[in-house]
Amino acid sequence: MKGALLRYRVMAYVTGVVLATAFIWLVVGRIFLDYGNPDARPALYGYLWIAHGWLYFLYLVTGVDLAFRVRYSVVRTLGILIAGTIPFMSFVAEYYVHKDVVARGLVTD
Amino acid sequence: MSRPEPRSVLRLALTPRWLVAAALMVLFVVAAVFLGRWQWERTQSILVAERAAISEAIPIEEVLGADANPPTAVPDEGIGRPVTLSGRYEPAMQVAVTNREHEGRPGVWIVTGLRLPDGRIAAVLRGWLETPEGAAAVAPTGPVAVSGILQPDETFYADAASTPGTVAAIDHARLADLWQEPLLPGFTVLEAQEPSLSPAPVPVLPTVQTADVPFPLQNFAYAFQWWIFALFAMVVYARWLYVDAQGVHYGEGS
Repeated sequence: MKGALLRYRVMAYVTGVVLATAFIWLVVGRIFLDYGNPDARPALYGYLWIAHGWLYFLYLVTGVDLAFRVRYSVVRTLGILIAGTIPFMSFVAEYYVHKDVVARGLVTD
Repeated sequence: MSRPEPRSVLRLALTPRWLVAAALMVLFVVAAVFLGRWQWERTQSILVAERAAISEAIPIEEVLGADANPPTAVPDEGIGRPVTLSGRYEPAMQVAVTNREHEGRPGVWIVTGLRLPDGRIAAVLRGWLETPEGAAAVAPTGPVAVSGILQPDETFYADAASTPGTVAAIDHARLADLWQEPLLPGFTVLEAQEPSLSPAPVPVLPTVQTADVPFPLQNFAYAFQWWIFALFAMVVYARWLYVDAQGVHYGEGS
């Protein structure tokens, strides 16, 4: 359980940071840097979105694994999983999941 | 937790709750497969559009700049690019590139300087001839419109000795020395010319191909990611059903 929670928390942070960076870059690019034109976007920007795609898959795997162990309902599990696609929401999901798992006494800290 | 019997798993799968779950799973899988296909098609259509954009001929000035000080080499994106040139050939600016065969026959390439409307000179590889003498080698004197493929300078045989009127390789700096006037970098392999000339050198094929267009990696990656998500949804459904059949109760306390 401890390992599963740690894996989920790590992926929530990594996925969240990558998504937040890409999202802020998108907003700034759209407003100030003419990112409507694909040629104006640097390669790193595209790689960031690709990275988020694959990291999100790992987030799904760790999230489902944890949901099985904690025995979350389907609805709650889906909520946790979808949080990884909404900018900044994976941090919120991670906060509640961590608090909840501790409150259930499944881990000690 | 004991291993559930296959029949009890099947019975559970046919309960209303699990039929709804199955329907949702199938819905997601179908949507993900279609979204993956959509990204795949976008990858293809972006490539097609990019390739079409670089296969359209543009004036050579757009590739090499209209500057009085042109670049010293053809920029990468200009290599293999279809270009058009208009102007007049300079009869005094012509060389034969030695040792160039065509369909197994030895001969020379005829390179002539073409004066663009802005006064700058561009080298045009007009084609192949068996010998540099004869009527076919003589460039037309009137205004011409040339279309062809832009090539980088041939950097080999830099030190080769040559007789007057011949070179071993096409290099714009070398030709500039010969013709006593600066030249645009690279040269254009003639494909068509207006007005056409007869007799004329046999047009040759460009040797350096264009670099391919940038690959739309993001759409390509997203296509596979959607398909993996579809697979993942099926795995999660199966695993969840199996665990439920083991009698583990989910959703407690939520």
